[in-house]
Amino acid sequence: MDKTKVILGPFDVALEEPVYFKIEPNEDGKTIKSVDMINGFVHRGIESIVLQRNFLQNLIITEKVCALCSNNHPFTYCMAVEKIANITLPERAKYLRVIADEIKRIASHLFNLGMLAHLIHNKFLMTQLLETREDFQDLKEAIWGNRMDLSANTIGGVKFDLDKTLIASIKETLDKNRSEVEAFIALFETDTTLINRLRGVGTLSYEDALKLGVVGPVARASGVNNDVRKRAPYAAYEHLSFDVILQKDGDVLSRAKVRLYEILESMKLLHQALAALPTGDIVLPTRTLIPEGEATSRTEAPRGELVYYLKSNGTQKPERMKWRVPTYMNWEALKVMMPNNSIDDVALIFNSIDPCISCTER
Amino acid sequence: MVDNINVYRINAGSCNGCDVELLASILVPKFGFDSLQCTYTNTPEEANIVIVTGSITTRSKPFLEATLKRLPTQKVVVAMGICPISGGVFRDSYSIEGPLDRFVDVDVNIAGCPPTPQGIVEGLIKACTLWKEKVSA
Repeated sequence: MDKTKVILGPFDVALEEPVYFKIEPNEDGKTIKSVDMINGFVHRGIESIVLQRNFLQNLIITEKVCALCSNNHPFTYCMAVEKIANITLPERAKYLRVIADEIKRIASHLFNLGMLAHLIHNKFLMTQLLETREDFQDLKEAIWGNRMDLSANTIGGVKFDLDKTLIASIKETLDKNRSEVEAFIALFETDTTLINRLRGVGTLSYEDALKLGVVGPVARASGVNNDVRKRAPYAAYEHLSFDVILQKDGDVLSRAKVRLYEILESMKLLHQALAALPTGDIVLPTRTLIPEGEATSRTEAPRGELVYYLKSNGTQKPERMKWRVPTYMNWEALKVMMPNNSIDDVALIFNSIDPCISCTER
Repeated sequence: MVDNINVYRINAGSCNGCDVELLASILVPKFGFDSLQCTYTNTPEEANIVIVTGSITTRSKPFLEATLKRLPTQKVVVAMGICPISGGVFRDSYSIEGPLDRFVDVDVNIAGCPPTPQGIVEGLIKACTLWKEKVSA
C-alpha cells in the first residue's frame, strides 16, 4: 500500500454502500489533495438480466435496482413501455403514481438527513430524523405492505388503490410531521453549531454544477434549476403546483436545506393530489406483448433525474434497456467538492450527494 | 457472562435496502436494539457477529474473502436479506458469486426483501443467543 494514500472502504462502517476511496492528502496530512473512487462492487449485471425476462417480470427487476429509489425505477420503466405501446394511463393512476413517488421521496430525504446527523455525531438529531422517517415507513407498510419496495407501478397503471381510511392516514401522517420538518428547517437555518459544522464543506459552484451536469438536490443546492417534474412534467405533475427549491452556496449545508424544504413541497404535492384524486380505473387490462419500438423516459427521483432507454422488437422481452441514474452524474462532482476539505469529512461529503451506488453500478 | 457483542457488517453488493433497514433497526429506539448490548465495530478481527448483505458480486468477492480471513474463528454469521441467502432475483446473473454459504458457514438467515426491522431484530436476538452459547460452551 502506498503510504501517502488513505484508504476508506469498501466495508467501512461510515459507508452505507461498498465504495473504495483512495485519498491523497495535502502536505499537512489532514486535508484532501485528490480523491479516486474505485467502483463496481454492486454490479449485479441487471442490464443483462432484464433482457432475459419479459416486460412484466422486469417490473420486479427494476424495483430491486436500488431500495431507496425503488419506486422511480419501475415508474420510469413503465413510462418507457407505455410510450412504445402508446398507452394512455387512467387519470386516477397518474395521481396515484405521484402519491407513491412523493411519499418515497420524503422517506428518502429523511434517511439521507438522518445519515448526515449520524456522520456529524449528532445522535439526538439523527434519532429525531429517523423517527420522523419511521412514520412514513409505517405509512408505506400500511399502503403497500413493504417499507422499501412498494411495487406500486405496473404497465398501464398502478397496483394499489387508496380508500378513505388510507387517505385519512396519509393526511394524518403529513399533518403530524409537518411541524417536525419545520423544526428541522429552523435548526438548519439558525443553529450556529450545526451551521458552522456544515457551511463551506464540499462546495460545488454554480459554474461547476453546470459544467458537470449534476442533477437533483445537488444541482439545486448550487442554484441550477433542473427539476424534471417542472421541466418536463409527467404523470399528474402538470396539474399540481409546487416550488423548485434552490440554494446558492452549493455546500453540504445547502444540500441538506434543499432536501428539507423539498419535504415540505412533497407534502404540498401530496395534499393537492389527494384532494384532486379522480375517480375511475387504476389500471388498464394487462398487456404482455409490446410492439416494436424505442423510447426514452425521465423522472425526478429523490436523487435527481433518472433516464430510461428501452428498445423492444415485438417479442415479450426487451431487446435493450439502459438507464442513466442520478448518482452517475453526481459522483464525478465529488472530485471537485472534496479537495482541500478535511479527510475526516470524506464520508460526510459523499453522503451529501445522497449516493446510490447500487443504482449506478446495477 | 457476555456484556458486549461486536457486530461487523459486510455489504457484498446489496441494493442498500437491507443496509438501510438494518441501520433503522439499530438507530431507532422503538425496535429495542439497545437492549441487545451490541456495538458496531469497524475492525473485522473484533467481530463476534458478522452480518452480510448483498448477493456477493464478482467484484466484491476478493474483498469478501480477504475480510472473512481476518474474522476470528469463533463467530456467528448472519445472512441478511434474500440476496446472500439464495441470490434472490439476481441469482442467474454472470456477476453473482453467491449464495453466502459457498464462502462461510451461515448460522442465521434473516429472509425478506428487505426484512422488516422486527425480523432483523429477531434474527439478531437469535445470533446473540448463539454467540452466548458459543462463548459459554
